[in-house]
Amino acid sequence: MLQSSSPRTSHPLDLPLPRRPGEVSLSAFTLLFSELVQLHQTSASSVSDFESLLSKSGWEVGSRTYLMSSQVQGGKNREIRVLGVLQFLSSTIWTSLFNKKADSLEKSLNSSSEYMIHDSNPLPTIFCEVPSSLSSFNPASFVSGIVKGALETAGFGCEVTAHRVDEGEGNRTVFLVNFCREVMEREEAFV
Amino acid sequence: MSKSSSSTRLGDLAWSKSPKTSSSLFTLTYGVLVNHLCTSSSPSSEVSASLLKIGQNIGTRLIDDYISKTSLLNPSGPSPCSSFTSTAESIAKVGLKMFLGVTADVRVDSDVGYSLVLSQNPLADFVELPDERSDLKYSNVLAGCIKGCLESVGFEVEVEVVKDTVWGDECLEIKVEGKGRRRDELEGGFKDE
Repeated sequence: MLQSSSPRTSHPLDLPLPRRPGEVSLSAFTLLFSELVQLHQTSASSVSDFESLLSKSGWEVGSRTYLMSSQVQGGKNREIRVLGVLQFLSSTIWTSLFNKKADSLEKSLNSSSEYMIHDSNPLPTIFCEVPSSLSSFNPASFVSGIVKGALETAGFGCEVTAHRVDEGEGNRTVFLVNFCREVMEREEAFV
Repeated sequence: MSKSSSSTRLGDLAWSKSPKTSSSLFTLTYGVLVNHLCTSSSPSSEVSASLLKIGQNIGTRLIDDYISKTSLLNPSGPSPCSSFTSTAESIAKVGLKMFLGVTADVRVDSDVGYSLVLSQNPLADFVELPDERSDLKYSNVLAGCIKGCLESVGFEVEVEVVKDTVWGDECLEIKVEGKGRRRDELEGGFKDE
């Protein structure tokens, strides 16, 4: 067997979490992301299947980032209100992943359980060009998976969908967060 | 010595100029990718081979980025991949620095082989291999990248991860072995009439 018998020098759990996240070049990340997309594309049978696979991958990233960010925050109280967790998401988590805050956070006028996070150019999709044969595919479903993963790990069950907004340049995208009924009932109990 | 410090300078310059993103997004995304390959329940050797292939795909594109950036930043400099031995320095001090922000030490093993030693593994933050995957070459994508890059500039190579921090080693060591040059395609394509 490979070095499995040798004692581990340092277990990941014994290492301190990095206070300031390190950096890698954008090219390295985008090429890696492109490989992930291709991998899912070959195993997906339909566009919606493709998006859900990508979103599942995002879920894993979002969930872990939430756990890490909430630790790095230095053991502050955890967010229990909807608005609090959304602000944590669109500022702290967005910054630790994408080095910027989300452009805006809005509450939907139609439904009390719906919130919208706007991003003018979500990082993973910067260099994505969707071929016309896949026109309904949105690579930002990876980011919607991140949002869902982070919120669900924080205890806020929700559905998240990504929608492209065709105005101006870039891949302006809205992430529509729809919290599930239990979360909204809990939220009402606070008032 | 001077050559090595000029590579270091070029690497630092390229790193400072390249747009960046957070490393946790990168490492977590890579983790998800490996995880996805593992859940399709193939044996570790197959997963390692897939990672090598993925790395090669990335490498063939990275080399374009590498050559265009280094020739812009250092137009009068020597061609970065003119000989097999010079590629060691180019990868260790410029390539790795430019894309991952780390540098490696080069250990020359023979005329046709060298090892790159990285004191930290940028892919392995937060990673623990479960016992049943202890033989997984988690960082094989780096080996694949190097292979893809070198093959794109005409070197036939075998690249292998021999030590890895996820296996409990104190460093990440990647062994590069030259298998000759790939000339035929070029000569065929550029023959004068």
